[in-house]
Amino acid sequence: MAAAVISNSKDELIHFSLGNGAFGGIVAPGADNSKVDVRNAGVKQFYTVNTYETFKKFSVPATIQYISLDVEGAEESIIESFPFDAYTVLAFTIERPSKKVLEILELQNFVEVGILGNFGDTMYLNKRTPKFIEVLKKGQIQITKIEKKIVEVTEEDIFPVRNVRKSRAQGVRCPYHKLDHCHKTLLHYTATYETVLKRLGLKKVT
Amino acid sequence: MSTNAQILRVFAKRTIGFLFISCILCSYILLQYSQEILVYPRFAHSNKNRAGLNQDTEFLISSPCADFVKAPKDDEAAVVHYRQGWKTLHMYVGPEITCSIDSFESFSQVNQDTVIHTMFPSRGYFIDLAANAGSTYPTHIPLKDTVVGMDFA
Repeated sequence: MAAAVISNSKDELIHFSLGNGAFGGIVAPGADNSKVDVRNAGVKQFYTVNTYETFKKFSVPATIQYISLDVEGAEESIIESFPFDAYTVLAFTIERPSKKVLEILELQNFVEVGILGNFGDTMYLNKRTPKFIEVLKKGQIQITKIEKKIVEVTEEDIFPVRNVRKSRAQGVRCPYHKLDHCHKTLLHYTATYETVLKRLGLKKVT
Repeated sequence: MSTNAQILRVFAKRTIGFLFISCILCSYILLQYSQEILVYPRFAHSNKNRAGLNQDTEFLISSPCADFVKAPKDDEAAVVHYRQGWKTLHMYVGPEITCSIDSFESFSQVNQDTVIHTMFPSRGYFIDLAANAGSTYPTHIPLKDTVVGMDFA
């Protein structure tokens, strides 16, 4: 385990909220902790480090199977400076990815596996993953089991789930058997259920 | 002589019969007891899987196999056990069936680790970039068993 504040800039002095349990993070405009008072006892100052140099220091291999990115609003800053030239990431989960993050992931050939839960935790898979379709199918079957609470999954089950309270779609929004319709662009996690269905060439789900 | 032999034969038959019935009875009793066991909630350290009262229907351990690990809400003995830190589980002992999310114990907020474990079952490398104290709020503990990785916090 390494304690470091990773950012797109190096040696920048920032305020970091440590006193907020699981919701700690950088205190800066745009971040989840933007309104935290820097005079609070739980706020400390740290110098930022660069992703590439940190990975080098810890001998991270060139191929990383999975990165979980849940940094309470600083996701964009990390993805923007991520050393995609030096490291191949096969899968990401990113909480509430911004449009800028989606643009970068599109350029890096990522496809959406699905959205888990109600907080916009979205999983992406790199098209360069060995046995890409097979791995995507496995992931989408598992997400369907979780989101639809079913044991046996057929191809017809692998479709978006309507979040009634928020009118959004979650679960598998770009099924492996409909990739032709949806692999080129990544949808924002707030996209409506109707928008997701329209993209798949469906008017309504039976 | 023949009378003694007859008596012995009848005695032997009755003994065998008694033993046979005893065996069946013992097996039945053992089976009954083996279905009702007291288990300390092993997921208590995980927020997601913490045992708790579900006021709507019943209280249960929110595990991936929750459908098979539950107790009715009117089970007073179970409620008492729960308040004392123990819980009676009604354990499924029927034919082999498939649990909805296999047997992987998830520690993630929304089962991210379960999905990744399915997609990359063999060894790999993972990084958990989180904005908190990684040792206090780890997201992907179970992956460490199958995947080599590191946490940045």
